[in-house]
Amino acid sequence: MSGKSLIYFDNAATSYPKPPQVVEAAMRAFSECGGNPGRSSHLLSRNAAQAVFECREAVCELLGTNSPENVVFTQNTTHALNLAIKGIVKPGSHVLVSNLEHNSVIRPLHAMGQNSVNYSFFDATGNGDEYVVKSFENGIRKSTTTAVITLASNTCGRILPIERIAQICKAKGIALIVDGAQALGETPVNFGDLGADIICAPGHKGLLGPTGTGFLVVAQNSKYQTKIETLIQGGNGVNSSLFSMPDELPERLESGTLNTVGIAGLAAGINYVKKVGVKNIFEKNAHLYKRLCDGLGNIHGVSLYGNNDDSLHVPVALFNIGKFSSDQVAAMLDEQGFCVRSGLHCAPMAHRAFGTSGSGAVRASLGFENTERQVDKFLYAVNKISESSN
Amino acid sequence: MNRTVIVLSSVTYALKAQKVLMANGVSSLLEKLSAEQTKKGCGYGLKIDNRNLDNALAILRKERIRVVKTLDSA
Repeated sequence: MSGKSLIYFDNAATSYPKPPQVVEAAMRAFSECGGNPGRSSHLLSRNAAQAVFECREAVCELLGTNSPENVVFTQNTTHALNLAIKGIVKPGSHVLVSNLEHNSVIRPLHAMGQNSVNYSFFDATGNGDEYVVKSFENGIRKSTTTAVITLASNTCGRILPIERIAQICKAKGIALIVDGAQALGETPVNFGDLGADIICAPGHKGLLGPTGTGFLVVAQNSKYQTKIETLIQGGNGVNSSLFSMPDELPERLESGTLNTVGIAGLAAGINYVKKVGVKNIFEKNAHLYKRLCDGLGNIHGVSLYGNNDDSLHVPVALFNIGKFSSDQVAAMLDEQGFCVRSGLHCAPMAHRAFGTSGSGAVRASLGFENTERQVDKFLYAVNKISESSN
Repeated sequence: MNRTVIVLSSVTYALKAQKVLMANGVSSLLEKLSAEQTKKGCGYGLKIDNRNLDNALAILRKERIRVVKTLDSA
């Protein structure tokens, strides 16, 4: 670590800093929950199981659901999406995804092409929710069984009209998996109101937990509570004399030892977010985001992508500066202590839609700890870089 | 023989059941069960006083928490 003062605008990759409560909870778990959860009869194992269960409950409370057994812990969102997609998509079916999707959606589907799974994209970059809903409807085929859609884009922060899309899915018998990677903790989400079958999310972004944590949640009364095929099989402390995996969640999808320390930290992160209030976080970030985008939009030579629509956004801004590549800009900002991310952000179709698939773009993603002054310092730095581009 | 073990399908369901029972004034003890007890290998259950058993089973039924079986406990 250098002593240089950092301004962290890379919260869409992982949030920083974590609240002290998260660090304390993780440290406490090392000493008090050192056993393997759900495996043994001794105190440390029971403590670990209790810590894991309390995190399942925290997730439920956050999402307004009441089924902790439907919360499956994973390493990250990518892991959760793989479990969900490969667990429910059958050979021969068609899957509809938006062009704002992350490779954690596109790559599993691409790999499943070997099993006769087809997928196609609908455009989610046009103006307004109505456009997106129509675009989704137009993309549905007779063979469409599943839709996988991000709740908020990791490139431009746009929030998609999932509730309206879910109604269409329900009417047509299409399963809906939602990628909540950029949304949970950033914008209020009630899973029941959302209408999706499964939501996948990280613990380490808006929920402020440690890296190496994520989860999927299956909707209450969804047929996928028992119909998800397993991607990984192994021990989980349930029915050990049987060679087949148990039918019931969450253990059906949780083979191997869970990340108790990370999960305990995640529970503390969720509780922190709930205490502050997701609505408060959204409103504060919306204010900072507007300041950032307005500022970027006013700097000569800056091109801003994906925020010129009427939709709501989580605080993720995508831009380029003049003749510089996104990597060059990120490096220049890094020299001045700003942490941003350049490139394609694992979302190649989104960059194609924005016309930035060549060298990508610079992403500045805000978090709850960021301030107006940091945004202003950032805009000043961008302005200087832009001037040097002329 | 004044206690019974309510066998649940996993530690997650056992902890959920324990919380539900606690909220209804019924205390219980989380127990890891032996392979002999479950017949399917490892599992978890809640040890409970027999005088609370009927009430506990009714609460779990109402909350739609599946009870795998009950076992006598010393």
